[in-house]
Amino acid sequence: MSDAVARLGAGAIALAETVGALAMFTTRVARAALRPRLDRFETWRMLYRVGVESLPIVATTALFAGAIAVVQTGANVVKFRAYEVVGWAFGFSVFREIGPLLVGLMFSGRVGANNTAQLSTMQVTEQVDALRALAIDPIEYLVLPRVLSMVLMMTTLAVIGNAFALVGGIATSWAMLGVDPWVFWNSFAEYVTLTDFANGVIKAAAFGLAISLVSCHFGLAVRGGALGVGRAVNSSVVASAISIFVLDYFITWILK
Amino acid sequence: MIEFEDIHKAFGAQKVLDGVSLTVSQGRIVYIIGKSGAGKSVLVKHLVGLVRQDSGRIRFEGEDITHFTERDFFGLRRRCAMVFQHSTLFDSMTLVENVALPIRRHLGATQREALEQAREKLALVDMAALSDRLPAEVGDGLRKRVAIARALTLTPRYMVFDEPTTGLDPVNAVRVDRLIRDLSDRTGVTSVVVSHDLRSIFGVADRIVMLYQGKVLLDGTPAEFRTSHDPVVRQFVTGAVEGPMAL
Ligand SMILES: Nc1ncnc2c1ncn2[C@@H]1O[C@H](COP(=O)(O)OP(=O)(O)OP(=O)(O)O)[C@@H](O)[C@H]1O
Ligand SMILES: [Mg+2]
Repeated sequence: MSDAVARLGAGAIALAETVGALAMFTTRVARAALRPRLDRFETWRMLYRVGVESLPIVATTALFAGAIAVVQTGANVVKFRAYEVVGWAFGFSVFREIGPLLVGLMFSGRVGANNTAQLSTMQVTEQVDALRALAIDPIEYLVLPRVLSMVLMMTTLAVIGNAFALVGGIATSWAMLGVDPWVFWNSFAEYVTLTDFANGVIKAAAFGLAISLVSCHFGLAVRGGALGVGRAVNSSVVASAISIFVLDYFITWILK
Repeated sequence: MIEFEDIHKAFGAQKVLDGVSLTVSQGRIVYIIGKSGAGKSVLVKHLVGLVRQDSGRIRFEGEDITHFTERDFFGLRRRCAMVFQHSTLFDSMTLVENVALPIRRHLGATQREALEQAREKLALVDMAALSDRLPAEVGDGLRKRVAIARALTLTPRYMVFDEPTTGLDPVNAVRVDRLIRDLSDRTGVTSVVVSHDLRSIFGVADRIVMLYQGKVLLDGTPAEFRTSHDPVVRQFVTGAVEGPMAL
């Protein structure tokens, strides 16, 4: 019993430590962003890498997310013969909620995890110290381009993802429910507003920021050699997922 | 001039440096020797602020850098470059991009200009032909030469070399020795060199400092080392298996 309490307490302390360290890291990044000496070369490289890494999986995920949203509502649509709202139901749920959430989680698993692996490997092999020895600030040179690319790419991917989800939704409702694509599109275009769309894009940008900060922090804070790299990647993915859900909750609440 | 004064450093319960003092005069080459784990790398990293002392004082060109912040150290590091013991080339960049990085970041060059200058630097260490390879595609010795070229890009007045000849073939080891000597003789660069390589040590050093059990065991000229009667120094110099040097 007391053992369980002690473990709970230790867990709470570890959580507080992580949150504190993340907040400190964010402050350092924000301070560096105030007087940016952004490395254009590294930024282009990161944008390219992040894009190439994430586009295929995000497109696939979005396609299926759109399809699943239609499958979910399908039974009720048929039961109530509510064919002209299927586009609206789809757009509202996918653009606002399911889309950004799934894209964020996939992005974190792919890009965030890779990023943590890369930075922590650089840290344990002293490449980060070598940068410092060359009088190059790792926050400025490594972290800022990564944060910028991930935020930009997540925002872009949310938009691209929406298009793929739409394709998935239209195709599924046509094949499964026999809803004519034009009927779907009309109900979608009529009821789904720019606000729904903007809502999802804002979420995606926020998730991108969170994933980039979390994955950079866990990468640079790695301890304990090659074993530490595995642990860092693991913690980074878990922490990213948690921060995505927490942010999602608050943003949904604020923008409702 | 570089002065270390009574430096103490421990990692957890493990005391690594236990009161180390030494002075490196302007334009001179000082070799730090000692067995594996003696704390040589830890000691030299103090100079560029990659490891911070628990107590003691460090002066660099007369300036007290003991309580420098990370930001303060950025200025110092442009004057004092370091070549690490293990290859610390950036593994996602080609060799020439590695050398170009400090040029681009500090000398206001565009990427194209920086690459051009970097190719010239690589030619100086005979690496021009391999300049577009990735670090993982070349051997340890070649990587070390590139790391030296990279460290020299900002024409530092001070150099820290951590085992610059380990892993190099004899010919290139001699070349690196000669480079270190030339830097000092021709351009007055002050060097701190960590090494196990007896030929380099006795061929190049102006002074030798031996670390043993966290302290300076002997600080003297190569001649003084050769003639020392200290059993630990004798064992190191002769490479005898039997002796007082604890494992
Ligand atoms: N960041 C660190 N954290 C914990 N311990 C460390 C750290 N850096 C060095 N040590 C420990 O300090 C001791 C001295 O290490 P150091 O690398 O200075 O040895 P060295 O004299 O350079 O040996 P070698 O000839 O093998 O390079 C070692 O036992 C090492 O494990
Ligand atoms: Mg060492």
